[in-house]
Amino acid sequence: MRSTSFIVFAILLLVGNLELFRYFQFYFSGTDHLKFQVKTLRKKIQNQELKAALIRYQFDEFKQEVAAQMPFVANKMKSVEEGYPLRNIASLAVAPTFEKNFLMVSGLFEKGKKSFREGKFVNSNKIFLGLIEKYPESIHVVESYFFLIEGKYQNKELEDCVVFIDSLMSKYPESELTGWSLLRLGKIFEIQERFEDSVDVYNTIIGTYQDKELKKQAGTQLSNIKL
Amino acid sequence: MKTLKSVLFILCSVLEIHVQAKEYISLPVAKNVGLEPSECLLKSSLCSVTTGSKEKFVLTFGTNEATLGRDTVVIRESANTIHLVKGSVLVKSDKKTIVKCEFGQVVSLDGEYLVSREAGRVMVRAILSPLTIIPKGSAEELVVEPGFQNWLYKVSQSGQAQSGIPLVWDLEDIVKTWAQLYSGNKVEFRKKMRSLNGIWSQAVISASQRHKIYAERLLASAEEDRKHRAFSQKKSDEERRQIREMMIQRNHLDLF
Repeated sequence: MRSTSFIVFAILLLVGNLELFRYFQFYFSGTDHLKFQVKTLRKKIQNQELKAALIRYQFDEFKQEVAAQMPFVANKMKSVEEGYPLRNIASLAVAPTFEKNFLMVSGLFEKGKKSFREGKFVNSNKIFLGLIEKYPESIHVVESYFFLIEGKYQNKELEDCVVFIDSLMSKYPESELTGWSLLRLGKIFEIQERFEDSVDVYNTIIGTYQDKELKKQAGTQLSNIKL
Repeated sequence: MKTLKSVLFILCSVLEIHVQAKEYISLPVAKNVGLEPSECLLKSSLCSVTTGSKEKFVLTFGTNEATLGRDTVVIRESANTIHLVKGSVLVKSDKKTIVKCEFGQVVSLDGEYLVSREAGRVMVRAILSPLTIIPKGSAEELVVEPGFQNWLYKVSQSGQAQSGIPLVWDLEDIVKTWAQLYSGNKVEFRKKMRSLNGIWSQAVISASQRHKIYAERLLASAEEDRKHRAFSQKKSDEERRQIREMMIQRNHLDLF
Protein backbone atom coordinates (compact mmCIF):
# COMPACT_ATOMS: atom_id res chain seq x y z
CA MET A 1 0.00 0.00 0.00
CA ARG A 2 2.82 2.31 1.00
CA SER A 3 4.84 1.50 -2.11
CA THR A 4 1.76 2.20 -4.33
CA SER A 5 1.25 5.60 -2.68
CA PHE A 6 4.92 6.35 -3.12
CA ILE A 7 4.82 5.45 -6.82
CA VAL A 8 1.71 7.63 -7.35
CA PHE A 9 3.39 10.49 -5.51
CA ALA A 10 6.59 10.05 -7.55
CA ILE A 11 4.63 10.08 -10.82
CA LEU A 12 2.70 13.19 -9.78
CA LEU A 13 5.94 14.90 -8.82
CA LEU A 14 7.52 13.96 -12.14
CA VAL A 15 4.52 15.20 -14.12
CA GLY A 16 4.47 18.40 -12.06
CA ASN A 17 8.16 19.01 -12.67
CA LEU A 18 7.79 18.33 -16.37
CA GLU A 19 4.88 20.78 -16.60
CA LEU A 20 6.90 23.37 -14.68
CA PHE A 21 9.87 22.81 -16.98
CA ARG A 22 7.65 23.13 -20.06
CA TYR A 23 6.15 26.35 -18.70
CA PHE A 24 9.56 27.91 -18.00
CA GLN A 25 10.90 26.72 -21.33
CA PHE A 26 7.96 28.40 -23.05
CA TYR A 27 8.28 31.54 -20.90
CA PHE A 28 11.96 32.08 -21.72
CA SER A 29 11.82 30.98 -25.35
CA GLY A 30 10.29 34.31 -26.46
CA THR A 31 7.48 32.63 -28.40
CA ASP A 32 4.87 34.66 -26.54
CA HIS A 33 6.34 37.76 -28.16
CA LEU A 34 6.04 36.13 -31.57
CA LYS A 35 2.52 35.02 -30.74
CA PHE A 36 1.62 38.59 -29.91
CA GLN A 37 3.11 39.76 -33.21
CA VAL A 38 1.13 37.10 -35.13
CA LYS A 39 -2.03 38.17 -33.31
CA THR A 40 -1.42 41.83 -34.18
CA LEU A 41 -0.73 41.00 -37.82
CA ARG A 42 -3.86 38.84 -38.04
CA LYS A 43 -5.88 41.73 -36.66
CA LYS A 44 -4.38 44.05 -39.26
CA ILE A 45 -5.19 41.60 -42.06
CA GLN A 46 -8.77 41.29 -40.80
CA ASN A 47 -9.13 45.09 -40.82
CA GLN A 48 -7.66 45.35 -44.32
CA GLU A 49 -10.03 42.65 -45.57
CA LEU A 50 -12.95 44.46 -43.96
CA LYS A 51 -11.99 47.71 -45.69
CA ALA A 52 -11.62 45.92 -49.03
CA ALA A 53 -15.03 44.25 -48.61
CA LEU A 54 -16.65 47.61 -47.81
CA ILE A 55 -15.10 49.30 -50.85
CA ARG A 56 -16.20 46.41 -53.08
CA TYR A 57 -19.71 46.60 -51.64
CA GLN A 58 -19.93 50.37 -52.21
CA PHE A 59 -18.79 49.90 -55.79
CA ASP A 60 -21.29 47.06 -56.42
CA GLU A 61 -24.07 49.12 -54.89
CA PHE A 62 -23.15 52.03 -57.12
CA LYS A 63 -23.10 49.78 -60.21
CA GLN A 64 -26.57 48.45 -59.40
CA GLU A 65 -27.80 52.01 -58.85
CA VAL A 66 -26.50 53.02 -62.27
CA ALA A 67 -28.04 49.90 -63.85
CA ALA A 68 -31.41 50.76 -62.27
CA GLN A 69 -31.27 54.27 -63.75
CA MET A 70 -30.20 53.17 -67.24
CA PRO A 71 -33.69 52.39 -68.67
CA PHE A 72 -34.90 55.93 -67.84
CA VAL A 73 -31.85 57.38 -69.53
CA ALA A 74 -32.17 54.97 -72.48
CA ASN A 75 -35.74 56.15 -73.09
CA LYS A 76 -34.48 59.70 -73.53
CA MET A 77 -31.86 58.67 -76.09
CA LYS A 78 -32.91 59.08 -79.71
CA SER A 79 -30.22 56.90 -81.22
CA VAL A 80 -27.48 54.48 -80.21
CA GLU A 81 -24.80 57.03 -81.12
CA GLU A 82 -26.44 59.64 -78.92
CA GLY A 83 -26.37 57.25 -76.00
CA TYR A 84 -22.63 56.66 -76.21
CA PRO A 85 -21.54 59.64 -74.03
CA LEU A 86 -24.03 58.65 -71.33
CA ARG A 87 -22.83 55.06 -71.28
CA ASN A 88 -19.28 56.34 -71.20
CA ILE A 89 -20.08 58.52 -68.20
CA ALA A 90 -21.71 55.56 -66.46
CA SER A 91 -18.62 53.41 -66.96
CA LEU A 92 -16.22 56.13 -65.83
CA ALA A 93 -18.26 57.36 -62.90
CA VAL A 94 -16.84 56.82 -59.45
CA ALA A 95 -18.84 56.26 -56.27
CA PRO A 96 -19.10 59.52 -54.27
CA THR A 97 -17.58 57.87 -51.20
CA PHE A 98 -14.19 57.70 -52.92
CA GLU A 99 -14.21 61.44 -53.46
CA LYS A 100 -15.33 61.93 -49.87
CA ASN A 101 -12.48 59.74 -48.62
CA PHE A 102 -9.99 61.59 -50.80
CA LEU A 103 -11.08 64.95 -49.38
CA MET A 104 -11.01 63.56 -45.84
CA VAL A 105 -7.44 62.24 -46.27
CA SER A 106 -6.20 65.52 -47.74
CA GLY A 107 -7.76 67.42 -44.81
CA LEU A 108 -6.15 65.05 -42.33
CA PHE A 109 -2.76 65.38 -44.01
CA GLU A 110 -2.91 69.21 -43.92
CA LYS A 111 -3.87 69.05 -40.25
CA GLY A 112 -0.87 66.84 -39.52
CA LYS A 113 1.48 69.15 -41.43
CA LYS A 114 0.18 72.15 -39.50
CA SER A 115 0.86 70.41 -36.17
CA PHE A 116 4.32 69.41 -37.44
CA ARG A 117 5.16 73.02 -38.45
CA GLU A 118 4.05 74.22 -35.01
CA GLY A 119 6.35 71.68 -33.38
CA LYS A 120 3.48 69.65 -31.86
CA PHE A 121 5.13 66.38 -32.79
CA VAL A 122 3.07 64.11 -30.54
CA ASN A 123 -0.10 65.34 -32.20
CA SER A 124 1.32 65.26 -35.73
CA ASN A 125 2.67 61.72 -35.19
CA LYS A 126 -0.76 60.56 -34.09
CA ILE A 127 -2.41 62.09 -37.16
CA PHE A 128 0.13 60.71 -39.65
CA LEU A 129 0.06 57.23 -38.08
CA GLY A 130 -3.75 57.24 -38.25
CA LEU A 131 -3.63 58.30 -41.90
CA ILE A 132 -1.15 55.52 -42.79
CA GLU A 133 -3.21 52.84 -41.04
CA LYS A 134 -6.64 53.96 -42.26
CA TYR A 135 -5.83 55.01 -45.82
CA PRO A 136 -2.79 52.98 -46.94
CA GLU A 137 -3.60 53.61 -50.61
CA SER A 138 -3.67 57.40 -50.28
CA ILE A 139 -1.28 59.57 -52.30
CA HIS A 140 -0.15 61.21 -49.05
CA VAL A 141 1.18 58.00 -47.45
CA VAL A 142 4.87 58.44 -48.39
CA GLU A 143 4.91 62.05 -47.15
CA SER A 144 3.06 60.98 -44.00
CA TYR A 145 5.72 58.35 -43.35
CA PHE A 146 8.41 60.97 -43.85
CA PHE A 147 6.80 63.46 -41.44
CA LEU A 148 6.11 60.66 -38.94
CA ILE A 149 9.78 59.61 -39.00
CA GLU A 150 10.90 63.21 -38.55
CA GLY A 151 8.41 63.69 -35.71
CA LYS A 152 9.57 60.53 -33.97
CA TYR A 153 13.20 61.63 -34.40
CA GLN A 154 12.45 65.06 -32.90
CA ASN A 155 10.77 63.32 -29.94
CA LYS A 156 13.88 61.11 -29.51
CA GLU A 157 11.82 57.97 -30.16
CA LEU A 158 14.67 56.42 -32.11
CA GLU A 159 13.51 52.78 -31.96
CA ASP A 160 10.13 53.68 -33.49
CA CYS A 161 11.94 55.84 -36.01
CA VAL A 162 13.99 52.86 -37.23
CA VAL A 163 10.85 50.69 -37.49
CA PHE A 164 9.06 53.26 -39.68
CA ILE A 165 12.14 53.86 -41.86
CA ASP A 166 12.31 50.09 -42.39
CA SER A 167 8.62 50.05 -43.33
CA LEU A 168 9.07 53.00 -45.73
CA MET A 169 12.14 51.35 -47.26
CA SER A 170 10.32 48.07 -47.90
CA LYS A 171 7.18 49.71 -49.32
CA TYR A 172 8.50 52.72 -51.28
CA PRO A 173 12.23 52.15 -51.92
CA GLU A 174 12.29 54.32 -55.06
CA SER A 175 10.93 57.50 -53.44
CA GLU A 176 13.35 60.40 -52.82
CA LEU A 177 11.73 60.87 -49.42
CA THR A 178 12.89 57.37 -48.53
CA GLY A 179 16.42 58.56 -49.32
CA TRP A 180 16.02 61.50 -46.95
CA SER A 181 14.66 59.15 -44.28
CA LEU A 182 17.70 56.90 -44.80
CA LEU A 183 19.87 59.91 -44.12
CA ARG A 184 18.07 60.15 -40.79
CA LEU A 185 18.71 56.43 -40.22
CA GLY A 186 22.42 57.01 -40.73
CA LYS A 187 22.30 59.78 -38.15
CA ILE A 188 20.51 57.48 -35.67
CA PHE A 189 23.20 54.84 -36.16
CA GLU A 190 25.80 57.51 -35.45
CA ILE A 191 24.02 58.41 -32.21
CA GLN A 192 23.98 54.74 -31.29
CA GLU A 193 27.70 54.56 -32.18
CA ARG A 194 27.10 52.01 -34.92
CA PHE A 195 29.43 53.74 -37.30
CA GLU A 196 29.91 50.83 -39.70
CA ASP A 197 26.15 50.55 -40.25
CA SER A 198 26.02 54.28 -40.66
CA VAL A 199 28.71 54.22 -43.39
CA ASP A 200 26.77 51.45 -45.22
CA VAL A 201 23.59 53.55 -45.15
CA TYR A 202 25.34 56.67 -46.53
CA ASN A 203 27.01 54.63 -49.29
CA THR A 204 23.61 53.14 -50.19
CA ILE A 205 22.13 56.64 -50.48
CA ILE A 206 24.99 57.84 -52.71
CA GLY A 207 24.72 54.74 -54.92
CA THR A 208 20.95 54.61 -55.19
CA TYR A 209 19.36 58.06 -55.33
CA GLN A 210 19.72 60.70 -58.03
CA ASP A 211 18.93 63.81 -55.98
CA LYS A 212 22.13 65.92 -55.91
CA GLU A 213 21.39 67.61 -52.59
CA LEU A 214 20.68 64.23 -50.98
CA LYS A 215 23.94 62.78 -52.34
CA LYS A 216 25.85 65.85 -51.14
CA GLN A 217 24.39 65.54 -47.63
CA ALA A 218 25.22 61.82 -47.50
CA GLY A 219 28.78 62.54 -48.70
CA THR A 220 29.26 65.22 -46.02
CA GLN A 221 28.02 62.86 -43.30
CA LEU A 222 30.32 60.13 -44.60
CA SER A 223 33.38 62.39 -44.58
CA ASN A 224 32.54 63.53 -41.03
CA ILE A 225 32.56 59.91 -39.83
CA LYS A 226 35.85 59.18 -41.57
CA LEU A 227 37.43 62.20 -39.93
CA MET B 1 -9.12 -10.50 -34.30
CA LYS B 2 -12.87 -10.26 -33.79
CA THR B 3 -12.41 -7.84 -30.91
CA LEU B 4 -10.07 -5.69 -32.99
CA LYS B 5 -12.60 -5.57 -35.81
CA SER B 6 -15.37 -4.61 -33.37
CA VAL B 7 -13.24 -1.84 -31.86
CA LEU B 8 -12.34 -0.58 -35.33
CA PHE B 9 -16.00 -0.61 -36.36
CA ILE B 10 -17.07 1.32 -33.24
CA LEU B 11 -14.25 3.85 -33.77
CA CYS B 12 -15.24 4.43 -37.38
CA SER B 13 -18.91 4.86 -36.39
CA VAL B 14 -17.98 7.44 -33.76
CA LEU B 15 -15.81 9.33 -36.27
CA GLU B 16 -18.68 9.37 -38.76
CA ILE B 17 -21.06 10.68 -36.11
CA HIS B 18 -18.57 13.42 -35.20
CA VAL B 19 -18.18 14.52 -38.81
CA GLN B 20 -21.96 14.52 -39.31
CA ALA B 21 -22.59 16.40 -36.08
CA LYS B 22 -19.95 19.07 -36.63
CA GLU B 23 -22.14 21.03 -39.05
CA TYR B 24 -24.93 21.23 -36.50
CA ILE B 25 -22.80 22.49 -33.62
CA SER B 26 -23.30 26.08 -32.55
CA LEU B 27 -20.41 28.38 -33.46
CA PRO B 28 -18.51 30.04 -30.60
CA VAL B 29 -19.17 33.74 -30.02
CA ALA B 30 -16.27 35.91 -31.23
CA LYS B 31 -14.43 37.84 -28.53
CA ASN B 32 -12.68 40.15 -30.96
CA VAL B 33 -14.25 41.19 -34.23
CA GLY B 34 -12.97 43.47 -36.95
CA LEU B 35 -14.52 46.93 -36.72
CA GLU B 36 -14.43 49.96 -38.97
CA PRO B 37 -14.10 52.63 -37.57
CA SER B 38 -12.30 51.04 -34.63
CA GLU B 39 -14.32 50.62 -31.42
CA CYS B 40 -17.45 51.80 -33.21
CA LEU B 41 -19.75 49.28 -31.49
CA LEU B 42 -20.29 51.58 -28.53
CA LYS B 43 -19.46 54.96 -30.01
CA SER B 44 -21.75 55.51 -32.96
CA SER B 45 -24.55 54.01 -34.92
CA LEU B 46 -22.59 53.63 -38.17
CA CYS B 47 -20.35 50.64 -37.76
CA SER B 48 -18.94 47.88 -39.96
CA VAL B 49 -18.36 44.49 -38.36
CA THR B 50 -16.62 41.38 -39.65
CA THR B 51 -16.37 37.92 -38.11
CA GLY B 52 -13.72 35.22 -38.45
CA SER B 53 -14.03 31.88 -40.21
CA LYS B 54 -14.99 29.90 -37.09
CA GLU B 55 -17.04 32.35 -35.07
CA LYS B 56 -20.33 34.15 -34.84
CA PHE B 57 -21.15 37.53 -33.33
CA VAL B 58 -24.30 39.13 -32.00
CA LEU B 59 -24.66 42.71 -33.20
CA THR B 60 -27.29 44.88 -31.58
CA PHE B 61 -28.94 47.66 -33.54
CA GLY B 62 -31.52 49.54 -31.55
CA THR B 63 -33.49 46.92 -29.65
CA ASN B 64 -32.91 44.36 -32.39
CA GLU B 65 -30.33 41.61 -32.69
CA ALA B 66 -28.46 40.36 -35.72
CA THR B 67 -26.37 37.23 -35.35
CA LEU B 68 -23.54 37.26 -37.86
CA GLY B 69 -22.37 33.89 -39.16
CA ARG B 70 -18.83 32.90 -40.11
CA ASP B 71 -16.93 35.16 -42.58
CA THR B 72 -19.66 37.77 -42.50
CA VAL B 73 -19.46 41.52 -43.02
CA VAL B 74 -22.34 43.76 -41.92
CA ILE B 75 -22.74 47.54 -41.79
CA ARG B 76 -24.95 48.92 -39.03
CA GLU B 77 -26.56 51.97 -40.61
CA SER B 78 -29.11 52.98 -37.97
CA ALA B 79 -31.20 51.63 -35.08
CA ASN B 80 -33.28 49.51 -37.46
CA THR B 81 -31.19 49.15 -40.62
CA ILE B 82 -28.18 47.02 -41.50
CA HIS B 83 -26.42 46.19 -44.78
CA LEU B 84 -25.36 42.64 -45.57
CA VAL B 85 -22.02 42.91 -47.36
CA LYS B 86 -20.90 39.28 -47.12
CA GLY B 87 -21.91 36.00 -45.43
CA SER B 88 -25.14 35.34 -43.56
CA VAL B 89 -27.13 37.02 -40.83
CA LEU B 90 -29.99 35.90 -38.59
CA VAL B 91 -32.14 38.86 -37.56
CA LYS B 92 -34.29 38.72 -34.44
CA SER B 93 -36.55 41.65 -33.64
CA ASP B 94 -39.87 42.76 -32.25
CA LYS B 95 -39.92 45.99 -34.27
CA LYS B 96 -39.50 46.98 -37.88
CA THR B 97 -36.09 46.07 -39.29
CA ILE B 98 -34.52 46.53 -42.72
CA VAL B 99 -31.66 44.54 -44.22
CA LYS B 100 -30.22 46.22 -47.29
CA CYS B 101 -28.01 44.86 -50.04
CA GLU B 102 -27.03 46.16 -53.48
CA PHE B 103 -29.98 44.30 -55.08
CA GLY B 104 -32.71 45.75 -52.85
CA GLN B 105 -33.96 45.48 -49.30
CA VAL B 106 -35.73 43.13 -46.91
CA VAL B 107 -38.32 44.65 -44.57
CA SER B 108 -39.73 42.85 -41.56
CA LEU B 109 -42.11 44.10 -38.91
CA ASP B 110 -41.10 41.52 -36.30
CA GLY B 111 -39.94 37.92 -35.86
CA GLU B 112 -36.89 36.07 -37.10
CA TYR B 113 -35.48 35.76 -40.59
CA LEU B 114 -32.32 34.70 -42.30
CA VAL B 115 -30.54 36.62 -45.05
CA SER B 116 -27.50 35.11 -46.73
CA ARG B 117 -25.40 35.41 -49.85
CA GLU B 118 -25.38 32.22 -51.90
CA ALA B 119 -23.78 31.94 -55.35
CA GLY B 120 -24.04 35.65 -56.10
CA ARG B 121 -27.68 35.87 -54.99
CA VAL B 122 -29.09 37.24 -51.77
CA MET B 123 -31.32 34.55 -50.31
CA VAL B 124 -34.09 35.58 -47.90
CA ARG B 125 -35.78 33.03 -45.63
CA ALA B 126 -38.76 34.02 -43.49
CA ILE B 127 -38.76 31.90 -40.34
CA LEU B 128 -41.29 33.02 -37.75
CA SER B 129 -43.23 35.82 -39.43
CA PRO B 130 -43.88 37.19 -42.91
CA LEU B 131 -41.59 39.75 -44.49
CA THR B 132 -41.39 41.72 -47.70
CA ILE B 133 -38.60 42.11 -50.20
CA ILE B 134 -38.31 45.18 -52.39
CA PRO B 135 -36.06 44.70 -55.43
CA LYS B 136 -33.96 47.73 -56.45
CA GLY B 137 -35.70 49.90 -59.04
CA SER B 138 -39.09 48.39 -58.28
CA ALA B 139 -41.98 49.82 -56.27
CA GLU B 140 -43.53 46.37 -55.90
CA GLU B 141 -43.27 44.61 -52.54
CA LEU B 142 -42.99 40.82 -52.63
CA VAL B 143 -44.31 39.03 -49.56
CA VAL B 144 -42.44 36.02 -48.22
CA GLU B 145 -44.53 33.95 -45.81
CA PRO B 146 -42.97 31.99 -42.90
CA GLY B 147 -41.49 28.74 -44.19
CA PHE B 148 -40.78 30.25 -47.60
CA GLN B 149 -37.69 31.67 -49.26
CA ASN B 150 -37.05 34.03 -52.13
CA TRP B 151 -33.98 35.64 -53.66
CA LEU B 152 -32.69 38.90 -55.08
CA TYR B 153 -30.19 39.24 -57.90
CA LYS B 154 -28.56 41.83 -60.17
CA VAL B 155 -30.55 44.60 -61.88
CA SER B 156 -31.68 43.44 -65.32
CA GLN B 157 -32.15 45.47 -68.52
CA SER B 158 -35.61 46.48 -67.31
CA GLY B 159 -33.94 48.54 -64.56
CA GLN B 160 -35.23 46.30 -61.77
CA ALA B 161 -33.36 43.82 -59.62
CA GLN B 162 -34.36 40.23 -60.37
CA SER B 163 -36.23 38.08 -57.86
CA GLY B 164 -37.59 34.55 -57.78
CA ILE B 165 -40.90 32.98 -56.82
CA PRO B 166 -41.43 32.00 -53.18
CA LEU B 167 -40.47 28.38 -52.50
CA VAL B 168 -40.51 26.32 -49.32
CA TRP B 169 -37.05 26.38 -47.74
CA ASP B 170 -35.02 23.24 -47.24
CA LEU B 171 -35.51 22.25 -43.59
CA GLU B 172 -32.08 20.66 -43.28
CA ASP B 173 -30.31 23.80 -44.53
CA ILE B 174 -32.22 25.98 -42.09
CA VAL B 175 -31.52 23.64 -39.14
CA LYS B 176 -27.79 23.65 -39.95
CA THR B 177 -27.56 27.43 -40.24
CA TRP B 178 -29.81 28.09 -37.26
CA ALA B 179 -27.88 25.61 -35.11
CA GLN B 180 -24.68 27.45 -35.91
CA LEU B 181 -26.14 30.87 -35.15
CA TYR B 182 -28.37 29.99 -32.20
CA SER B 183 -27.38 31.58 -28.88
CA GLY B 184 -29.74 29.86 -26.38
CA ASN B 185 -29.44 26.48 -24.66
CA LYS B 186 -30.19 23.05 -26.08
CA VAL B 187 -33.67 22.72 -24.53
CA GLU B 188 -34.80 26.03 -26.01
CA PHE B 189 -33.30 25.06 -29.34
CA ARG B 190 -35.24 21.79 -29.34
CA LYS B 191 -38.46 23.72 -28.63
CA LYS B 192 -37.68 26.15 -31.43
CA MET B 193 -36.98 23.26 -33.77
CA ARG B 194 -40.40 21.78 -32.99
CA SER B 195 -42.09 25.09 -33.78
CA LEU B 196 -39.92 25.38 -36.89
CA ASN B 197 -41.02 21.93 -37.96
CA GLY B 198 -44.64 23.05 -37.53
CA ILE B 199 -44.03 26.17 -39.62
CA TRP B 200 -42.27 24.16 -42.28
CA SER B 201 -45.11 21.58 -42.39
CA GLN B 202 -47.66 24.38 -42.74
CA ALA B 203 -45.56 25.91 -45.51
CA VAL B 204 -45.33 22.59 -47.33
CA ILE B 205 -49.12 22.12 -47.04
CA SER B 206 -49.69 25.69 -48.18
CA ALA B 207 -47.26 25.29 -51.09
CA SER B 208 -48.81 21.96 -52.10
CA GLN B 209 -52.28 23.55 -51.96
CA ARG B 210 -51.05 26.41 -54.11
CA HIS B 211 -49.51 23.94 -56.53
CA LYS B 212 -52.71 21.92 -56.50
CA ILE B 213 -54.76 25.02 -57.29
CA TYR B 214 -52.24 25.95 -59.96
CA ALA B 215 -52.41 22.44 -61.47
CA GLU B 216 -56.23 22.48 -61.35
CA ARG B 217 -56.22 25.85 -63.07
CA LEU B 218 -53.87 24.52 -65.73
CA LEU B 219 -56.10 21.48 -66.26
CA ALA B 220 -59.23 23.64 -66.36
CA SER B 221 -57.52 25.97 -68.77
CA ALA B 222 -56.47 23.03 -70.99
CA GLU B 223 -60.03 21.67 -70.97
CA GLU B 224 -61.45 25.08 -71.79
CA ASP B 225 -58.91 25.42 -74.58
CA ARG B 226 -59.87 22.01 -75.98
CA LYS B 227 -63.57 22.92 -75.89
CA HIS B 228 -62.88 26.24 -77.55
CA ARG B 229 -60.84 24.56 -80.30
CA ALA B 230 -63.59 21.95 -80.88
CA PHE B 231 -66.23 24.69 -81.06
CA SER B 232 -64.08 26.70 -83.50
CA GLN B 233 -63.52 23.61 -85.66
CA LYS B 234 -67.25 22.86 -85.71
CA LYS B 235 -68.06 26.44 -86.61
CA SER B 236 -65.43 26.48 -89.30
CA ASP B 237 -66.73 23.18 -90.76
CA GLU B 238 -70.28 24.57 -90.78
CA GLU B 239 -69.19 27.77 -92.55
CA ARG B 240 -67.24 25.77 -95.14
CA ARG B 241 -70.27 23.55 -95.76
CA GLN B 242 -72.55 26.56 -96.22
CA ILE B 243 -70.13 28.22 -98.65
CA ARG B 244 -69.82 25.00 -100.62
CA GLU B 245 -73.61 24.69 -100.85
CA MET B 246 -73.88 28.29 -101.95
CA MET B 247 -71.24 27.74 -104.66
CA ILE B 248 -73.05 24.68 -105.93
CA GLN B 249 -76.38 26.55 -106.07
CA ARG B 250 -74.93 29.61 -107.87
CA ASN B 251 -73.14 27.57 -110.47
CA HIS B 252 -76.09 25.23 -110.93
CA LEU B 253 -73.84 22.31 -110.21
CA ASP B 254 -76.58 20.49 -108.33
CA LEU B 255 -78.00 19.64 -111.77
CA PHE B 256 -75.25 17.12 -112.21
